Amino acid sequence: MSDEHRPAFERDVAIAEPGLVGARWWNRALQDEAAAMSRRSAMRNLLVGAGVLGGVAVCGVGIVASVEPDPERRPESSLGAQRRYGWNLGARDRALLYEGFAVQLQVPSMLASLIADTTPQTWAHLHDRTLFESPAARPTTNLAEENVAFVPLAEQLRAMATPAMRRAFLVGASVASLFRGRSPAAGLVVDLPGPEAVAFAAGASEVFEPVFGIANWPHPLGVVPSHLTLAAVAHHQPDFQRGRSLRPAPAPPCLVLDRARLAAAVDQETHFDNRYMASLPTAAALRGGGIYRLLYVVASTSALPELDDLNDDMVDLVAAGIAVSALALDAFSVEYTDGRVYYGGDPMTHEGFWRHYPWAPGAPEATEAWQVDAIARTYRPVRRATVFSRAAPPPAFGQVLLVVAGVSVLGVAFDRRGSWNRSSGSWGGG
Amino acid sequence: MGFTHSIFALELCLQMVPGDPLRAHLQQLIEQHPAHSSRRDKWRLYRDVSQLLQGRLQYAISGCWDFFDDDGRALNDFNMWSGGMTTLEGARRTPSGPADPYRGDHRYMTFTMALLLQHGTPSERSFAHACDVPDPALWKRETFARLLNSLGMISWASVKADVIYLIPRDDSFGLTAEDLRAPKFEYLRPLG
Repeated sequence: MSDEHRPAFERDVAIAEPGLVGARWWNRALQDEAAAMSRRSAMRNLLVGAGVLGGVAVCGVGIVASVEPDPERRPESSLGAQRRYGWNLGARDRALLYEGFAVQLQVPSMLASLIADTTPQTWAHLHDRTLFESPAARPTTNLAEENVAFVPLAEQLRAMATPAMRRAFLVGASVASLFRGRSPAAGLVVDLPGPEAVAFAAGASEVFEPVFGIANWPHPLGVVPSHLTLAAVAHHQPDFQRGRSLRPAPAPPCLVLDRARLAAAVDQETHFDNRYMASLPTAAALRGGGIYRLLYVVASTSALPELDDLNDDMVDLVAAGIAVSALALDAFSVEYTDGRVYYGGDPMTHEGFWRHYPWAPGAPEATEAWQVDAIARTYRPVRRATVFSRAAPPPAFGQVLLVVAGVSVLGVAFDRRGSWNRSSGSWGGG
Repeated sequence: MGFTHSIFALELCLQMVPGDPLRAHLQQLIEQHPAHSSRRDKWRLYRDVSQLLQGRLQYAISGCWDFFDDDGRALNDFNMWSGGMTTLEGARRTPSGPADPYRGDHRYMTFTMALLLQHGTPSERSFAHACDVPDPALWKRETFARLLNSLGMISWASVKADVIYLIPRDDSFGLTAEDLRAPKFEYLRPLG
């Protein structure tokens, strides 16, 4: 690829409000060059300064002892570092980028009830509210070389809707329509890309109680784009409120997971590793709430088997007597003329769901939904060796490299603004 | 010291003509430009913007452009132009309602671009020469047309950053004549 066609510019701000649309890009090569040149100047000054200090030290004042030790890189839990230094540590000058139709929150005051609106009533003990704590969270301290004022995540939060979210919402509502008024003792585990998982849960929320299992915070350089998940929650917050008021209690759980949580390998010098591993409730916890079956919801059969971090839990659940099946979103039709989607292709095949998942005695007869891929419903978890085992997580998983000098935490390794970056190299004295 | 900078910025305020797709086209160009873009992508983006704006200069009622090759000013002004976007300074927060062009009630849009350039490169020097405009011609539509046309001579290898924005994104948030009389728009000069 020639330089002309190689991506050189990186967008750091994108705004799409009704009153304005715009964006800003930076040429990475020139940014790096400018940083290197500035650093070179700084090193020259440092060398001049060191000469002066050396002169003083010769006089016996001992100033050399006060020179800071060389910075070291120390790994720390990403979430722990975010709680301490702020959600966007090391990247306070970066903006979150959104997809689809992202707009400012229509009712910003609703953020105040975000935690309440997403906290389950029946299944609160299985719910992880980590993600929902992020908008209002403030750092308890600053990185030593931070020079950008902190702005809470709430001020960068948008409400986002995408076509994929709309489809997931409709499928969620369609699944809810199948389960409404029946008692198959089944819960859902929705393992879709975050925004779609949220939309599905919102669509199903009149029957199933959303129980979130998203245990990270957004970050501008995060490998897991959980700000999109949060933006989807903001968009669907009224649906969650309505679902809570309409569904009978106790309600079966809909465990909401973000399929992007494991992401690909992370370069900690350029990205923030906000990955995490999910887990499932134990069989005893499920049975305690009257749940004996789990339906693992994925986008398509190609998303099976389950992600690595769930393998142990899934196999253990089956061994303990919980029936686990899978359901793929593509078993549902495209949007029908009535604005709904149907299992198997159309209203005639919709109730055919119960032939494939025979958990509800007395379900009405329906045309066989033969066109539905059988792989999902015959899925059975099988134990396998994975690298994402909670017992032995991969090295550096979900960690950030902090730059530390003595007792002082200067910054983050990927922060190109930091004076510790590019501190080695042959150009230092140039 | 690192390399020094120059800045080129241009803003046009144009009447929104009912049925004219200019605003929608500009919006599309901004929204569809990739988050990670090549120099070629950039060249095409600004070529398309330039052609669209040059084709509608008859609807431009006011505008502003700058070229400074003073490093401090360039950096400061680029932040200022960026701030015009990130603070939504000129944008309406509420819809302006439908225009009534039969009673002279129009809606307006602004399109803004700012380029932070590496000072002293051949293309930056050529562009600086193109920006050497005599005072009487500063605020003429022909001058804006020539500057827009000259964007093609810029090598994107020597552009450190660029910002572009359009007010409004939605037709119903068009600026009114009263909006444009606010002090925050005083820098826009009537065009001859």
